[in-house]
Amino acid sequence: MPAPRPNQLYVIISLALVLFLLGLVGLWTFQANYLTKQLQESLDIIVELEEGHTEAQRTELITGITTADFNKPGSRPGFISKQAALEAMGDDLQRDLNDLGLNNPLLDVVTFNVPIAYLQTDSLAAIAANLQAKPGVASVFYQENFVDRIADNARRMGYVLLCLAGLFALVAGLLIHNTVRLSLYANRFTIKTQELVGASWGFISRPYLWKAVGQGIIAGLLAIGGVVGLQFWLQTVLPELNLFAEPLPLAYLYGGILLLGLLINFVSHYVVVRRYLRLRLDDLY
Amino acid sequence: MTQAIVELRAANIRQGDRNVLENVDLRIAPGEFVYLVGKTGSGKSSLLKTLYAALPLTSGSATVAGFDLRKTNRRKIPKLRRQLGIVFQDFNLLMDRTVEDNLRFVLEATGWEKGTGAEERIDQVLEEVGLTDRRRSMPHTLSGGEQQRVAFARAMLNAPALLIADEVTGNLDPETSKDILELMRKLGREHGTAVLFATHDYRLLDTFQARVVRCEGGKVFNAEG
Repeated sequence: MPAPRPNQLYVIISLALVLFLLGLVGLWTFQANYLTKQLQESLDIIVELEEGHTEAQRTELITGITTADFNKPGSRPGFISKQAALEAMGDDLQRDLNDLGLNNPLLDVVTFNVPIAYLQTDSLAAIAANLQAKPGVASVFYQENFVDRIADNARRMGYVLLCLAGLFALVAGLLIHNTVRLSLYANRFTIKTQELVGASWGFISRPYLWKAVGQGIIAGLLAIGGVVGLQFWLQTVLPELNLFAEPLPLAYLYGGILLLGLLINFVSHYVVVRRYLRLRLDDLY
Repeated sequence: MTQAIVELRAANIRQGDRNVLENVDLRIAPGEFVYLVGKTGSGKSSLLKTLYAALPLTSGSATVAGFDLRKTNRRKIPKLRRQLGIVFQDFNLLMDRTVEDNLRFVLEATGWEKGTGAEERIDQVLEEVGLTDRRRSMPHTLSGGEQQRVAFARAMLNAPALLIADEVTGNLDPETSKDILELMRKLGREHGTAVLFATHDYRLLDTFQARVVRCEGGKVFNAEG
């Protein structure tokens, strides 16, 4: 295969840069979803235990929560004794509350998190009712509007990101199309000559379309390389972003970049070559 | 009367919204050589473009190499053009490939496959135009006369029924112009190809006797050679 000519190289670089930027928007969208999910799943469900509950009741409750579907996978319920809670409160208030000589008004609590599938008002209410009925449980609390507020904000953020991604994809399409148009402008007479010597439109278009596929794949791979490189760098600088936490959406993102590069480049080449074929010889000047 | 290669009756030749030539009647027999003369802008190129379907024919009737131009749609145009050889003033070679690749492109585009004598055909036409030794040259390394010979070789590949030459000597010196004209007549005779040779240079008509068709004042005048 001959080395790509300068205008081919220019198309590949332009295409790769636009796809890279598009990849960043995609990465941002996925990351925003991931962080929203993390935030939602950080909601603590607090189970207050009755004064005087037995050790056996507490162990049974914690075991029940650990094995339940509504417990966030991979997490274990936490236990905070009333004494530990009082000390923590004292630390917050910067006073030793034991010195007051009052009875500790707090209760022992068990806390746990639920996965995103259960973070709905109905599901949470059902979980609370279920736990409430267990022996030794005084009450179940969680911040009710926390879930709705985050879900609402996530929905709004999702719309904004979707619009932004759509707008960006449109701009990317136009930029790529313009680059292809400019690169094929020099070939317009060649295309017309090929038509005049008896070549069909399909025969003339074919090499351009194959070239478009090749360019799309190379540019897509370069863009993916850029996005992965940036992810590694960000992961070093800001490890809390956890950029490789969800491999499946990332695989979709990389596949999407490759597919989009291929598709936009292919369609642009098809449209431009057809346009030159449709033009009359005199209109090419 | 033999079946004509070109048969135009009451045809109006249009360029955009404008009538360039009106009520054209023209008949060219197989193997016939015809000069098409007229001043620059007299409508010669528009007439030729109509014959190879680069301009649509909207009134009158026209048959070229068995194709009715009024009924020839976009899909049929490549088939019509495979029956024609077209040569232009500015050669219109594919400058990004060698002489042999220019010729090979036409063969592949017109359905020749490897092993069906395509390479032999390239050798044959290059020999006919005297360019066997320039087979692997790039077009920009050839002189104007040589480029025009490559254009003829390309036009002759499929032994066309009609060779259309549009001001092909416009960029060549007088001596080379006459050589090219002689070459066209020779190839036309050898292959039974009709030739329609358009020029504004009346001096070329002295090269050899042939029928002259003249474009003037929006009309086409037929004359016997």
